[in-house]
Amino acid sequence: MPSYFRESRNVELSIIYYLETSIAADWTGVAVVKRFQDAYKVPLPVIAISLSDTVNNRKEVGSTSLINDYYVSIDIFAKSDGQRLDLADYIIDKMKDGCIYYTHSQTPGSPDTLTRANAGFIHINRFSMNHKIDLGDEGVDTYDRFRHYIELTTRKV
Amino acid sequence: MVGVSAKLLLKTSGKQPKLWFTEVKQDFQNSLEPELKKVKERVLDELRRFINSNRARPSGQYPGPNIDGFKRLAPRENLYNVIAASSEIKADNDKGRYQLGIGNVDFLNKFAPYWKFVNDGGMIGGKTGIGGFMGYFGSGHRPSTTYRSKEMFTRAGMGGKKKMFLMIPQNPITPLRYLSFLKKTFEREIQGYNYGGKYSGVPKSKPKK
Repeated sequence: MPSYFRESRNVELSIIYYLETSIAADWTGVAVVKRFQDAYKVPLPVIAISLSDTVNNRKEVGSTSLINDYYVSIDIFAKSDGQRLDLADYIIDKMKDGCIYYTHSQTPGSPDTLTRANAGFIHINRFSMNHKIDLGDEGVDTYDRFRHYIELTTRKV
Repeated sequence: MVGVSAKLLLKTSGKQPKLWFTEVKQDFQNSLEPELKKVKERVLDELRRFINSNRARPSGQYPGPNIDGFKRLAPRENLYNVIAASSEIKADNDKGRYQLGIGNVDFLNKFAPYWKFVNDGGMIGGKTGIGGFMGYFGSGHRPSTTYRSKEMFTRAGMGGKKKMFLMIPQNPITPLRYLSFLKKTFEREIQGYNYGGKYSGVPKSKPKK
């Protein structure tokens, strides 16, 4: 019997899937990873995407339903300052329209294979952060030289 | 630096004396500043909890040496302490503008130079000028030439029974994003502010017609 993921995980995986397929179609040699640490294990340029926070609010007074806002962190590790800006602009442009929300399930015996089913839409409420990460030039690791950070506030609708 | 611009919208019926508006504006400004102080304290409290709850490994509990008159707390409190010590509220009453500054960059660079790496994550190497982090090693082993390129010994006996070393992490630091957390906390706190001055609500006296 397949195991189904919960909403937070589905939001994260849906955004990764959307950006991964878009980048693969429009760029060459840009890797997309989920864990921040994994970015340092693949060749540059790399984009690390993960769901960092969830804010749970009551849908209305007295209701037991929740409206969840998901904060998604996108770290860009580029080869140059120009590439950093191009990738940041590209991601903002892709994300501004939102993306499809998929439910994901895993089949026992092949946990790496995910089955997706279209189950709604992810709306981007806000681009809460979009800036260069400046860790300095001297002695900084190659991966940290041209970094950029984008944070999105999203909601499943 | 977080800037707070407040817009005061007055709804009245009938004619109000001009003085009344001036009094309301002054009362609002007088009540905003102490509220910002409370917001600052609440935001910093939340920040302290956030940093400590995300701590990956135990750190020293004894204060480091004071530098340039700045009283150092234990390493586990250093980042919070430096941010709190360099936070302030600046009021420009003429423009009706208040600024809440949480953490001064120059101060942070001097007393907690690793602040960017803890916030944004990254690979700390020997050439980044950071030098390393104060902290314990899980194994608690003594300094040895075996670890020479990986760890640097500072002094034995600090931190009680275990030994504390200055270490250079071999893996990337995972970003804590405490500045993002701080921003969210500030937004939440300031949104909850309701003007509670003596002129709030419905005026008790009827305006002159």
